[in-house]
Amino acid sequence: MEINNKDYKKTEKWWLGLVVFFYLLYNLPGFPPYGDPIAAIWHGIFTLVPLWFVIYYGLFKLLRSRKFRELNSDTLHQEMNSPE
Amino acid sequence: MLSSNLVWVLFISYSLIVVSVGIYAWRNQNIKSIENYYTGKGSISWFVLIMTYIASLMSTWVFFAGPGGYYRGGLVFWLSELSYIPLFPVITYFVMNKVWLLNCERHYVTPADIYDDRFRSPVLRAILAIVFLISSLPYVASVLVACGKAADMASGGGVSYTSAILIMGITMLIYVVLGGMRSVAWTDTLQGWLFIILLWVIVLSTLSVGFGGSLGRAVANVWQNTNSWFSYPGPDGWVPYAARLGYPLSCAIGWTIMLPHVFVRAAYTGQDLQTQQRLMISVPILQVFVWTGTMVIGLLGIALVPGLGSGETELIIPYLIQNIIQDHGPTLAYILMSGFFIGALAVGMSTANSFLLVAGSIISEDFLDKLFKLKLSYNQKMNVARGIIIILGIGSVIIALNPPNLVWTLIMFAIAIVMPLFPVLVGALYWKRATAPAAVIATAAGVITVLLTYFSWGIGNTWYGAIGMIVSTVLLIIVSYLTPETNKEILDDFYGALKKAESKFYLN
Repeated sequence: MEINNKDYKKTEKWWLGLVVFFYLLYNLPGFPPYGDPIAAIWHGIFTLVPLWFVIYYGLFKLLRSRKFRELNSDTLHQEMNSPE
Repeated sequence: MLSSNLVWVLFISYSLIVVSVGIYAWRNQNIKSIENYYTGKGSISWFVLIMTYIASLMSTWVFFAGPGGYYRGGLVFWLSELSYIPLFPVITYFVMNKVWLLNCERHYVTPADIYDDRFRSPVLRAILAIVFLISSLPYVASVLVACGKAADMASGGGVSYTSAILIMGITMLIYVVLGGMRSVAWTDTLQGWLFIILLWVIVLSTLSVGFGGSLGRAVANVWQNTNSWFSYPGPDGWVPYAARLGYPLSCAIGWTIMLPHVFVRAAYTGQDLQTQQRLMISVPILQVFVWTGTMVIGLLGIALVPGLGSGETELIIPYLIQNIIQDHGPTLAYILMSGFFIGALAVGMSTANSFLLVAGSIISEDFLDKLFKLKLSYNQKMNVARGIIIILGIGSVIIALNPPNLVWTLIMFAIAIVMPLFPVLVGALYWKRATAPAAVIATAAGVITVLLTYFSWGIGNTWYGAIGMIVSTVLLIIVSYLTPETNKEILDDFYGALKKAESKFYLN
């Protein structure tokens, strides 16, 4: 049965937005200050852990919501070449 | 130091095993088309695809410059790696999976094919083919050089640099020529696991000898003695704020997506959507596993032998084996040096063979077939493809025997020079207003900007291809609005194919 829901598009936008946000947060100039190892470690924890979490959480959510047919490229090629 | 006899035995045995695997993969396939030969489309399982992607991606950097990079760049260099590694599934989801869908309808062979399909511009194809070729061919020679040095170093000169390069070149050529992508992918799978295991054997053994197996003690030692290793911009000032952005961005886009050998794997080779999904999930995890091993060697290096010069740090693994592990146990040192040698061969050969194959496809498909319109039968095409790979392989060996400085120069910005092509690809997939003249101008200007970044402005090692990519993006937008819209038939044909593939593969 065909599923016509496009809810995944909303998830895609949130996903991309959050990834960009956390990537920019990690790259905020001036943070952490140079020469401060404790700050560098906390900065890594507070920016990279959320970045990884958001990417994998969003990826699995999208993979669950976007259903695909069990077709591989060979099957597809056969379908395309078979008489209608 | 290993005896030259042992190095010869290891070298020949290893070459025979790799060739056998390559020939086995070739014998167990039916090469149905030139597309199948160059991209392996439909004949490579998800597990093999993931490993060939990882093995192709990682070059001899893992055993040479990588540990030295962490020695000099510190923990924050590793953190900057962690910032781009997870971007792979995001870029693959939004960009490379769309190319994969299109490929199911259009049967692409080279990276330039997708661009040409959308923009229908021979000038664009020619520029792209040249850029992709420049970014790939020097890699083959440079990897051969690194492996030749590893053989020379492991045997203390007993196995000459020249013999090592010749044997490697012949080994690689045999299975690449015969089996194309399938043989390359299978040998990559073997070599990928091998170098990852050997890397970690070296890490754990060094940790065990140096600090009784306690990572905490090693960290405490570095914290006490080289505290700058843990903070920005790293002990050698490698990771200022600008490089923290420029370098990972280059790796996320240039290194893991746009270099032609990985482009083909991420977009053309996967046999179904499930394979694409597994690729997206697994690649970052495997990358972290490898880079963490490399980082720990850098950490152990600075803990055990601080104060090395930059040239010495690039050889930190053999240095640690000869100067630290040798004193504790000559047998272990012997085993680890063998591991270093085989690991360097595995990681090097798996990168070089992939570049060799894709370089062959660019010459035979982009130049001879599409640009020079050489009309050949299937058998003639296969013979030409194999002939070109042999010529390129021999050429690479000759270059590696006496590498000109140009090779290193080209390698230096290979990752950067492909970055301006990325916005054009995104424009091709998502923006109907993008025009062919804009794509040509954006690509050419972006590449020129990367050259200026390196050779005129001297900021290449901070910004890599990021500025070129911005220039390419801006010009794609401006020139597209200034030039007439693309013919509707071309757009309907291209986006219709994408829509058709999406509706065939997706339920929603």
